[in-house]
Amino acid sequence: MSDRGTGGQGVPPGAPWNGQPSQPHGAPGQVPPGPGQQPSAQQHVQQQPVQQPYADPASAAQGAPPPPQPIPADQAVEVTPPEAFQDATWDDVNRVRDREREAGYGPGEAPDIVYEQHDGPTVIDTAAGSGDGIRKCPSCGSSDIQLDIPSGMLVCHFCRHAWSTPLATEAFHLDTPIGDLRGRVIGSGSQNIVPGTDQVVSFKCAACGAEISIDTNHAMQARCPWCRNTLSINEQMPNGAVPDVVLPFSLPKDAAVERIGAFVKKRRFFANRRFIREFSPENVLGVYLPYMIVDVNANLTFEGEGEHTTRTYTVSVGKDETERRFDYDVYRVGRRFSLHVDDLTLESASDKRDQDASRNTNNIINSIMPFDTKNAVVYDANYLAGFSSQRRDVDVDALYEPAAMQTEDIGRYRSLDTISFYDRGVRWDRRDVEIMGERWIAAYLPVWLYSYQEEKSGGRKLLHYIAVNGRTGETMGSVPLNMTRLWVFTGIAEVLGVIAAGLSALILW
Amino acid sequence: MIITHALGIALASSSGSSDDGSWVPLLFLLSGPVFFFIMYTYYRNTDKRHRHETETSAEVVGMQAFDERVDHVTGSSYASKQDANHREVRGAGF
Repeated sequence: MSDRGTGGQGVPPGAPWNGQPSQPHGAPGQVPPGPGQQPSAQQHVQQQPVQQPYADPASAAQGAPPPPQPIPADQAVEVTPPEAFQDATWDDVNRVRDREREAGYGPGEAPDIVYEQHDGPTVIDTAAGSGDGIRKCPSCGSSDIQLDIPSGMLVCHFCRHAWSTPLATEAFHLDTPIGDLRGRVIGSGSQNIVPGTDQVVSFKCAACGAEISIDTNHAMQARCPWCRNTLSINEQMPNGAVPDVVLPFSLPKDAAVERIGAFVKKRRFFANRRFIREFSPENVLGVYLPYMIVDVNANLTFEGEGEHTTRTYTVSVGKDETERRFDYDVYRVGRRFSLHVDDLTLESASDKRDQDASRNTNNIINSIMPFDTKNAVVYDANYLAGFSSQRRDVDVDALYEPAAMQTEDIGRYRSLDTISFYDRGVRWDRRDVEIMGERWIAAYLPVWLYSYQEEKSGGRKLLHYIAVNGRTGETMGSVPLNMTRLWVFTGIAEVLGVIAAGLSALILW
Repeated sequence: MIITHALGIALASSSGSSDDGSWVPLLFLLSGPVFFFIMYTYYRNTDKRHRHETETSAEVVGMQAFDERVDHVTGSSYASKQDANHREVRGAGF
């Protein structure tokens, strides 16, 4: 979530590469060799792996001291010297002593204890000022507040006062240049989920004192049954329920219903008959789904082999037989650059991350991205009023590898303009992604979701989604099929194909 | 996938042999599977996903390059590099 910045470049333009003078490319698309030209030959020294000073196994074995003889447990003594515990706590010391006594280590046999040093991420506090309970209208004090979708503002149902929370980019200073990012930065709502943290949160209603419980798996608000005030969960807790930011719905329900209806209307003929009978797009549900939005500052290196066609011609290979032949040059190719990825968006609910199309239709929800994440605002549970929500259950650590791989993909596609000379293609053998900095923000993003559970033969069930992006209106869906009808028409198509093949063969031969 | 594979085989076998069009009737035999594949993907959209590699905002800074000619090959019957991976996508679907 950053404005594009060029500060803090990881790879300075024109810097030497492997000790050789480089050919800097000012921008993608500026390729040294133009069509029909040869790239200027330049000696490139392949980066060799660092040779480790490994000793020959045979000679090493000769000079090695004899293995220590085990000492009977009853003669074992404690030998861990006190200085070994310099940075340890008393609990650590006692644990080691206990273990030694129980294990019966002999002198010098106790294993070394390594205390790992962890550099924790830098945390952006996105929870300041938030608190659970009644969130009142700043004008009249009512808690009956809801998002007005057309204006994108929170509106008090009592006095009609309208307001909104600040843009997250400005409030949390997420617009600093991505090139300046170093290490890991996370929003306080993106912190790791602590196992065992209650999903059901209970607290007292500030108005009447009643005990209220909210199941954070599905909702972040509840109405007090006694005094009718709306109670909200705003305080971040380590169960993934409260994100850093929320992107409010801007597409009204009517528009979503219309889009879903139009989508299915085009796909009626081969659709499952029961689905068509039961289809009612008015049942679409507004859901805030959990995502991680990440900015990445990475250095990428690609090296491999490219091929450029120099001549194309036809040769005879027999009576009336010809073949196309190709001559080409082979090049060793390398590209190295910094990549500033802005708002890479990843699902952070484990059930939605499983996108095996043979088992589920989660790819449908994935396909309606991207969202205009720049317009996300500071989280307030009132934006969720009247909608459903799903809690995040995936941590940043688990999303790091997918983010790195997607960064590599983005870099590979950004480099395409610089390898257009290689019309036959390039095989990248080395693909290094060095992530210099990353900034993670947990977000609720809006999706209109229509779902239908198909019961297949054998009792198998498949949940079909038709999803509409709650901001852009992009629509995608999976419509269950009437397989019998589809097979019948496939057979007809095949018969027609056989007839056409026979006729065309008669004409040609 | 099966359809594209079958089409690939048909076209590969044809491109190397002759250009007299005698392979065209064979393509008609694929009309059934092609019809099934097109309809299935049109309704189920199993191939759809977020194209993160092109739809994500990103900026390239400090591009450096080397291009060194190392060989020349003549008489290849392949129109493109067989093991090219410059358009590969590794970070999708998990």
